[in-house]
Amino acid sequence: MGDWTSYAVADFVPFTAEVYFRLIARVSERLWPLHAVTLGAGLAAAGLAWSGRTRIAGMLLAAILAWVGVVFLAGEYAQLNWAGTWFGGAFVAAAALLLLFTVPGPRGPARPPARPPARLRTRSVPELAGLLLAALGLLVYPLIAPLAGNGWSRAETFGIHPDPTAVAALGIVLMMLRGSRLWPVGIVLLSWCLVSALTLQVLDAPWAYLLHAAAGVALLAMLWTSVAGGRSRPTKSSGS
Amino acid sequence: MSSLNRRQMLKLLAAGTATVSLPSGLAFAGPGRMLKKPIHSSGEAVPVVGMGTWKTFNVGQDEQLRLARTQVLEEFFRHGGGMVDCSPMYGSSGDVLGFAFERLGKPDSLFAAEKVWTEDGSATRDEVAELESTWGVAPFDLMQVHNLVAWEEHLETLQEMKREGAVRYIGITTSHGRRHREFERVMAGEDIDFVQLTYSITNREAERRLLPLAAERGIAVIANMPYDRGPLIKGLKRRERVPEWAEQEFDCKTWADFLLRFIVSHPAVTCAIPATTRVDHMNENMRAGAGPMPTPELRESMIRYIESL
Repeated sequence: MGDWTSYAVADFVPFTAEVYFRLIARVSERLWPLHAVTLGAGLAAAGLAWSGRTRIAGMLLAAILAWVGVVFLAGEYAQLNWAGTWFGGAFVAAAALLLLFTVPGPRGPARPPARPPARLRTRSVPELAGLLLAALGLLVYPLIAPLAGNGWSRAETFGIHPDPTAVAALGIVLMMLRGSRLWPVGIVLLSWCLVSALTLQVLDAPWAYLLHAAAGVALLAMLWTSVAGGRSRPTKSSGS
Repeated sequence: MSSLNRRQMLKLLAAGTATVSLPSGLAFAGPGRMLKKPIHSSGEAVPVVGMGTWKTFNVGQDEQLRLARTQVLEEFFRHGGGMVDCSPMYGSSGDVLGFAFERLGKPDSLFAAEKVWTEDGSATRDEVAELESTWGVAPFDLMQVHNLVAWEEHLETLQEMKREGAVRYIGITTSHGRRHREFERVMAGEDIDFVQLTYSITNREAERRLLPLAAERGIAVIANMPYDRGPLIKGLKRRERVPEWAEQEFDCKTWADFLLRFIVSHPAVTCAIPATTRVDHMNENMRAGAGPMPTPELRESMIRYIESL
């Protein structure tokens, strides 16, 4: 026990701020202009999930999660931190689960009970929290670096960088999944948000607290779905 | 010259050594004036200021930063630097060292120190071979068991490798006072050349048992985290000037002089391994290893001064 108290969060961050933020910028530069495609896919996934058409939303989101896991986390971040390989694998696993939960197989998943069209329903708290997180990850995140005076080169984009991807993905899965289907996917994304927020704190990046807050909102919404699960709508897989 | 005269001469020489305040075992490295201390198990001397790579050399594939770190390393060797310490836990640091040595060549003064870091106790030789390939250096001067991970198996294999000449020295490491009891047991019971532990003016836990034991067992000591993860020297530089008495007593001009000389003037410490990303900081670190060292009385004053801040 005494050993653990001697650790500081900084002991688990094996690189400097300069190196990490240059990595963000280098990946962004190399993949440009793919940002427009990934951002478009994210907006489409969020819109589809909001309107209850989860099959295509799930496919789009799964593709993005797997892409970020392989290209950024396992491909780039793992050069700096051995844990990047594990997180890359976890993103791919989350993508596979998302496909399993949202895309019908040969016999298809359990069909949801009949319910009114999305536009006529009262939205649940987790759905509203999901919308907020999706907007944060898709629309607000790219503005953080320029607003912080770090220029557009360091802007973080959904589908290119892991933080906005995880935040928006949490939002989208909160709109699509419930209960035992939500937690396995959500926990991977939440774990990344927590690790990244702590890393950003060590690197003295003020937006670390935004990421903490996003993770906190997501966790509360996930707990809400568990507590009020019976009253919330389950996954709809055939609306697309 | 009679034998009596020779004895008198030796006394005079000893007195002359004392006037420059060099603790026992210290010697100047040569043109760079970097001081050296002996590795007890062989008598080979190493410069008292080496270089760590935790965080600082982990720059991935970033070509611009790789070249910048190469400049830092070049400056280190220009000052007569010797020990460069790394670990597989430090991400791409080993790759970056390999990149730098490709451009700089392998300097004669290099004392290459690495670590085995895997729970698989049977993978020692494989990991050492991989590290040799990464650095482009073989054999390593020093191979250590990182943070005592699977130390029984790794140490047994490293002892075999030392006998075969596949590594020159072997050791164990810890940091921030972790697992000191087990560390002490390994020091007392195993045949090792080096230990690496955290020792700084604000973290002196090792003075209680580990440093005396190292002196007693003839084990060389590498002090890691000399700036206590970095904030120590950054805070001092921001808030305080180096005290005048330190400058007068042992030509202490910078906080690097103050903090590093405190560490390497401990009789049981062989060298300290500060890490930096900057050439100007490397210059400060290396200058600290070339100056006069504080006496035991001055070391006490240094502790009191830091505690008073």
